[in-house]
Amino acid sequence: MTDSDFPTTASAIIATIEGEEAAVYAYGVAAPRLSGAQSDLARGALAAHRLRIIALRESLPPADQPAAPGGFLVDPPPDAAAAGSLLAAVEVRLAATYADLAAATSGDQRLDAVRSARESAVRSVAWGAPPEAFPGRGA
Amino acid sequence: MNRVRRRTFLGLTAVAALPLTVACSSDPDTDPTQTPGPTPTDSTSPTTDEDPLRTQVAQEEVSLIARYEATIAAHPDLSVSLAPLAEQHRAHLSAVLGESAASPSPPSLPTAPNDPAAALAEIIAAERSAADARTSACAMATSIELARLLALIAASEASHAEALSTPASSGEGVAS
Repeated sequence: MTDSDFPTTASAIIATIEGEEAAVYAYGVAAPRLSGAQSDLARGALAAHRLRIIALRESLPPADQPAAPGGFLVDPPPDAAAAGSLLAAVEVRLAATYADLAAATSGDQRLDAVRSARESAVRSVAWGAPPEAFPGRGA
Repeated sequence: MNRVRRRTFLGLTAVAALPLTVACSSDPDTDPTQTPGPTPTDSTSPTTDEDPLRTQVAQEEVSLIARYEATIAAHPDLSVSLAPLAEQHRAHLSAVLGESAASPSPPSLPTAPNDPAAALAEIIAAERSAADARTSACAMATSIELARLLALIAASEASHAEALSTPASSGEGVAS
């Protein structure tokens, strides 16, 4: 598919970029509270999220690029448990955003979106959240 | 659980024809990078084209639920971690069936391994396969609604495998 044919595809990509940028920010504020295996998990996830942002931005024409992210209203978590909760919440929200992106795309783009939704849902559980029937969509 | 059993017979014939019809139900052009037919923005696309896909996924969810039930019956100690996940598969099944299709029955009654660790490993493997199958099914969906639903179910099932692989972390809640 081409970007210009489906305006909702571009808006879904932009929403996903915003979700990814929020995730990168959350990992940044959570990192100081993590150690050991959790630090490793966070570093791997942060690298993955940054790569997704690049790939998502590359899939948009220059005119559709969203602005650089503004501020995020996230209080730095006081301890490791709060850091894990923050990251679990960010990841599960992102899983739902990627499901929306999957719905708005097709072919390889859709498969990429589903894979990302799966990865985010898995990370959410890795950060201590219970699995959900419809991740990030309640129930 | 009862609902599934009650509706068992209704689904049998529909499911029998399934593997063939699914392969043929999309357009002749099977290139997954193309979008024949309705566009992703077309929310009014007829859902009847997707009924075989929904039935296939429903069949797989029913099999998964049966595997969970057999494992819980053989290993009651696993119920704490397995029962909530089985319940989520029932939610998947209801969502996939919607109002239209009948719930299929599992092809045969699964038996769980005697060793609890082996039984758990089977469930984890089944969840990973299910997530992969849901990913493929998502690629075939023509409506926005079904594509989104299958993406969410794929993510859910992948997270089930993660939760069962690392049981220590699955009990913690998240303040959101």
